[in-house]
Amino acid sequence: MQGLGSQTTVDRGTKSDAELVRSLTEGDLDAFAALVERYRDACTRFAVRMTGSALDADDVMQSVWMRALRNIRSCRNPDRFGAWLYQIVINESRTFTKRRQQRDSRFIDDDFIVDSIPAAEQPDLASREETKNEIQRALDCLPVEQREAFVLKHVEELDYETMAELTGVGVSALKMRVSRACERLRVLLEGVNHA
Amino acid sequence: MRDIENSSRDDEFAERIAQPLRAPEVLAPDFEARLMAQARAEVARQRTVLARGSWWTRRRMVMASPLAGLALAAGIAALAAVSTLTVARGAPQAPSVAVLHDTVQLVRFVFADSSARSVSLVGDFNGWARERTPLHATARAGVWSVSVPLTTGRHEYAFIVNGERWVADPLSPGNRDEFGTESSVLLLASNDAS
Repeated sequence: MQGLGSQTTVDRGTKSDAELVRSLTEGDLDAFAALVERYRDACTRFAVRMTGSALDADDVMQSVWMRALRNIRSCRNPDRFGAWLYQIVINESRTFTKRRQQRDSRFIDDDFIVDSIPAAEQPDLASREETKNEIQRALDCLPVEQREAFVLKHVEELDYETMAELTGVGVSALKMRVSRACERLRVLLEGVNHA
Repeated sequence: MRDIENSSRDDEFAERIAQPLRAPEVLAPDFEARLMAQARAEVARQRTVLARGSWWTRRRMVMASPLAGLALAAGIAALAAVSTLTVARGAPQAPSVAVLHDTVQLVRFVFADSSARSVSLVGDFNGWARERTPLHATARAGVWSVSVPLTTGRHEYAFIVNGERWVADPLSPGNRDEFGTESSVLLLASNDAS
């Protein structure tokens, strides 16, 4: 995750986050477009990992950016726009995923997941895309809190203190969630893991 | 010892499965076009709301935080407030804040602190920029004020005293942001509601 909490200035010599945020508060949509471009990749990846699909992540990210636009004046520390935005991404992804779970109310059987992951016949994990999809499917089976903690820790590679700041959850609780996520993923991905 | 072993085992496993997940993801090619269209519509809507404000047409007073013994009257649409000073423990005269609203969404912020050498207003309406909205010393010693045009809706604000001390209104509803900073909340009703 790049640019979290720092006064980011991109290589092209464009404006800092703080400058863009101030321009945006005055209605400058070019500043908005620049912020979208700057944070697009990191936020998109997190949203896809949390929702499990690019289609759903599209909805989440539209909502995230519009929420950021409407509330930009509440970004009290424009130098830390990245952290502020990331918190919106986390909240929106969490809300979306929980709503979807309630809506679908589908019971996902772990056995089905394990069986659906080809293990021995998987050709030495050569297909990176296929492997990613399999792991993503296992990730989708985790409770939202565990999935979020795992993605922040191991995919976005944040330290626990930053995770605590962004999620409002204590460090020890986050460590427990990550540990449980690993435990469960290990079971779900047994076939792939041994490949 | 077992915890350390488990943790190390978790990290190794997690690293292995996280690697493919770190691959970048892309959204639909038209994502940004759709987003910018929505953003333009939102900004246009906000400008419309701003332009619709019925300036200088009706009078109204909303007091978010009364200040005792302080009666203020000033200029256009100025109103007075009488309220009670809050005395904080250990402080001879704790800073107190009054917010007087005129009819036209011109909001007067009043701050009282006998020890203040300078006071500025920060809020979502000025990008939390401490240099943008300084309060001016009034004729009454230790009382500072500034009038700010505001749109209807919810606003968060605080005061910066002597260029460094952040003070939220102790008598107004408070709000704590994601980084633990406290500010005050002002709800400004629309003219249409009166």
